[in-house]
Amino acid sequence: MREAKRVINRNFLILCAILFMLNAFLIIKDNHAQKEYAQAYNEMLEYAAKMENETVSCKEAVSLAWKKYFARHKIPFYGNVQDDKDIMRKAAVSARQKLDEQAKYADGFDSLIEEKIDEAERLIKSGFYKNNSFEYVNLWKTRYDLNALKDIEVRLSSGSWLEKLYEYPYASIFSLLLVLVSIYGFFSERKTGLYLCIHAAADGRARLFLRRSAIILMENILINAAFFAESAAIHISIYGGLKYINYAAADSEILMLTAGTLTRLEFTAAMAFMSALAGTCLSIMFWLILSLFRNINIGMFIYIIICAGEYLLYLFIPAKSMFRGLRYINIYYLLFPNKTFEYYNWGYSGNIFSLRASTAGFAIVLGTVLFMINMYMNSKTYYTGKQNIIETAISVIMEAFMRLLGRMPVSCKEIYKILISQKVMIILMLLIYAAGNIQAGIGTFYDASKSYLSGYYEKADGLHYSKELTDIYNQYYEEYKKAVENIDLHSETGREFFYYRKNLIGSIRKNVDYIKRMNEKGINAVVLKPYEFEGAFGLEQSSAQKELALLNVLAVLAISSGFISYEKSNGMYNLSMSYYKRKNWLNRKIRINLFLIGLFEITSYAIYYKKIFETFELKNLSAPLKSLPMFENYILNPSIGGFILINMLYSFILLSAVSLIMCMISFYIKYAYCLLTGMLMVLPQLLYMLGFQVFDKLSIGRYIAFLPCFNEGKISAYDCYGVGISLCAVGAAFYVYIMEDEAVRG
Amino acid sequence: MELELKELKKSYGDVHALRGISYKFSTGIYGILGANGAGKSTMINLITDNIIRDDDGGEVYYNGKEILQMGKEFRKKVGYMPQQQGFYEDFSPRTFLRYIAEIKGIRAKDAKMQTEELLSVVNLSKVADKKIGGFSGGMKQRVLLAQALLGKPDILILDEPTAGLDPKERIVLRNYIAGLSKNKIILLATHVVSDIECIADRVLFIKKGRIVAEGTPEELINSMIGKVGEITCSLENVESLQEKYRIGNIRQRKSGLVLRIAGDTLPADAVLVDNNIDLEDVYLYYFG
Repeated sequence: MREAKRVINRNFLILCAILFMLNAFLIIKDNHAQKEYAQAYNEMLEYAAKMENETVSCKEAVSLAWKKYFARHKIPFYGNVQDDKDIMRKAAVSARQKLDEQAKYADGFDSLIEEKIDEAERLIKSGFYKNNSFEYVNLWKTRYDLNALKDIEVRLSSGSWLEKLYEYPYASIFSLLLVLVSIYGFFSERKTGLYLCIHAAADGRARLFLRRSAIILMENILINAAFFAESAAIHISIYGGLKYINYAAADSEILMLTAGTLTRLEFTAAMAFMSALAGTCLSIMFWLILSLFRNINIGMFIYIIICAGEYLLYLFIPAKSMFRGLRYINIYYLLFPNKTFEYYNWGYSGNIFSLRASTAGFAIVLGTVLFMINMYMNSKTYYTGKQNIIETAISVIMEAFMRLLGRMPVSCKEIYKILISQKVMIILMLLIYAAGNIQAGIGTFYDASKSYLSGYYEKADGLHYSKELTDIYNQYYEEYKKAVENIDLHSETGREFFYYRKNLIGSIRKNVDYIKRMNEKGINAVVLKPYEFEGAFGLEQSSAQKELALLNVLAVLAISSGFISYEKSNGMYNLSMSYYKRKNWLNRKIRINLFLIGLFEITSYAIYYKKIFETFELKNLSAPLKSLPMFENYILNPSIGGFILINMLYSFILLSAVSLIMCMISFYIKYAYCLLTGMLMVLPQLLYMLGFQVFDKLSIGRYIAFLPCFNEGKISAYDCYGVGISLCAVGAAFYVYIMEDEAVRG
Repeated sequence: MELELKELKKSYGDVHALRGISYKFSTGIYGILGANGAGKSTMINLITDNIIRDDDGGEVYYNGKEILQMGKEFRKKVGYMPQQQGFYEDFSPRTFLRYIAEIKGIRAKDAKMQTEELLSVVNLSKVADKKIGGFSGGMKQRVLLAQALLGKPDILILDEPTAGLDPKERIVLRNYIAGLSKNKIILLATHVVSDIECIADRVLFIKKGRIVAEGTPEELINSMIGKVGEITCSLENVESLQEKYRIGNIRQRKSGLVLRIAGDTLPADAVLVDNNIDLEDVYLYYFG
């Protein structure tokens, strides 16, 4: 079909490829850390599956399996282990826990179902609920649905991939995005004037309409299938479980009522189908709305407003409200179709609907109605160039805004140009959203040692090396001596306890010595409980800090990529270069770039540090930084709060250097390719995030974040300084070059 | 006021865009005629200091001073309307003019006043706050002209200013430019003869990077006496005549096809039209 070929053009295919890669990247980034866990789980499952039979229950099989696994890999159950074995042990313990839960579920599945059915029947018979009330009918429905599960044979099988796929929303979102982009391409005929030819042809509009309808349908089916297939394949490659693909999805407890009697393969297909159905409805809606406006960008804006409005209805209407119909029959479920598979019934009085049935029905009915309206509009609409009421209103608002912009300083015009004309605002909002999703950790876990030592830190909090501090130490030492006085060192338990208490007092001694050493050097340091700060600024946060730095670099690339390339693409470069204050113009553009970069950095870091502060409950920010032994080698000794600001300033300086490099690239590369070219700077870090450790040292984020290098040791810290200075030197050189007369003229 | 070009040269690799142009411009309108690729835009870019001169690329003087040494002081005196339409489509004309005013170093108060004045002059006051992206080609050209006039420059350089304009708009623009010519040097580069026929004080013909002719329109027309003729022929003979002579207009008359020919040699049966020569014929003579 020629229309399909026109719409599915080179740019569309490039976007396709980008989204497929992004999809893969997101899945791998979020899940590759689970590889050790997945390996341990799959191996244990293999052992358990071989042992499970009619006489050996799942629980017994799992118990034997994990013991075999631990023995085979020589992983000790208790005691200290080296780092890599420790990682293996943690993974194995998690896998064992998961298998234990699965075994319990599998063994008890039949009785679980019977129990739930009995409970439902008991409630039905109790007379507590009125006949024909929603609750009464819901009980019957639940009973009915549970009955259907009775025939399922639940076994031990690997279904983690499907559990993750079920929670993964982006397959649907990317599919929808691609289809909407191709619908946007339907309207290029308005720009070229081709619509006049189409309208003048005998059946031009009708034929084109049918073809486009077919394109929307086919794209939704094929693209959704492709994204779900890719997502499933990648999840399976990480978690394993390919040979269990035809097992019941209900083998996973969380999918029991969700997937019903479907196998894992069938459930995946069901999710893809629902996504395609929802996507088709949303696509038709998008097509109709865009057709109503002369300016299709206004149409897009209205579409977004409608979706946002529906989302607000979903958010604010409670589940039991009389308006709950608006909550459950909602575009929100079309945008996130996987959520419709959650087992949930709703309704009014004796009328009950499952969430997925009502969503599917909504998609079909709405899609059909909108399709009919679109068909009618298509045959009747004349592109007279007249504005409708919404367009007129928006036009009035835009004019008022332009009047205001005209009066504002030139810097505001430059900001408007970058954020609105170059559409950088969209990229920055996506990056802020990503920053909001960076994992800051789960807080500090207090084992017995930390709990004991907390007592010391609380007593000695804020003390310099002094008599008071040594008195506190002496108290703990006396306590230690008393505790170990009568210990039987010949027994293992006795020895364990002795060494445990010895380590504790050793830690306190170490801290006191540290404070003493610092104070003797004239460095202001006080006793400070370190655990929250280690969690907030230590190696645990390396990934998060690198990610945050990466997002800032991406923001820099987006802001700076159009520095000259955008000006050249619209003919403004030559014009501006012929005028009096051309160097001022360049300087101002650089200043605005840096302003936006700084603003983004503050926003993204504020979001991140808010999470850090809440997670770790950081206090004592005015304490000297070197109170924390982890910062003994830091070159300065500001307050802890001051350190955060200095770190941000350091990052800002490096980001500015990156910006100048990007500005330089912008002189020579076309606007359409500038951002992509700049992305080469972040490619090593993206590869590192996909699991290629070798690219860690080439990742720009680690140097901009600084702390990941610093926490690795002195050499890494010096590397970081070196890279930082080099970046600044290159940036400064580029700035001088950019301002050079000859470079400016080109 | 004088703008002097001395042996201006520019090469792009093996392509010699300008081959040593020397000329003096003083106040008045100068039409610069030439086919596409003749070197007009290159010459303009060298005057506006948008491209780097070659090592032996000549000099440009304004009132006796080299413009590269004058630097931004020279650029202050220039108003430039480029061939390639350059604006931010998301800006309104008012916003755009204020933006350009800042690059031109015009003070805010003056910028505001001149912006409103020029919007009125180019008849865009009613759409001053609508986005330029929605304008027709002619309206966009008027925005460009307005920005060139900001700051009341001494030197106005207009590169293909009537591109995209309808005949009425062309006339309006021509007349407006004619009204500006006092106390300004106006360079009007075009390949459309009618743009400058009525208004130019002097015309330069540029071909392959050189000035092949220059003078007042009258002088140039007079130089064509005896070199322009018309011949009537049939359709079958047109092709053979086109191969031998430079043919301009072909008109259909009762007697047959009338061909207008310009050149040093004319067909024997060509009738001279010495009383009816125009600049088109001069253009045809040099570029046909």
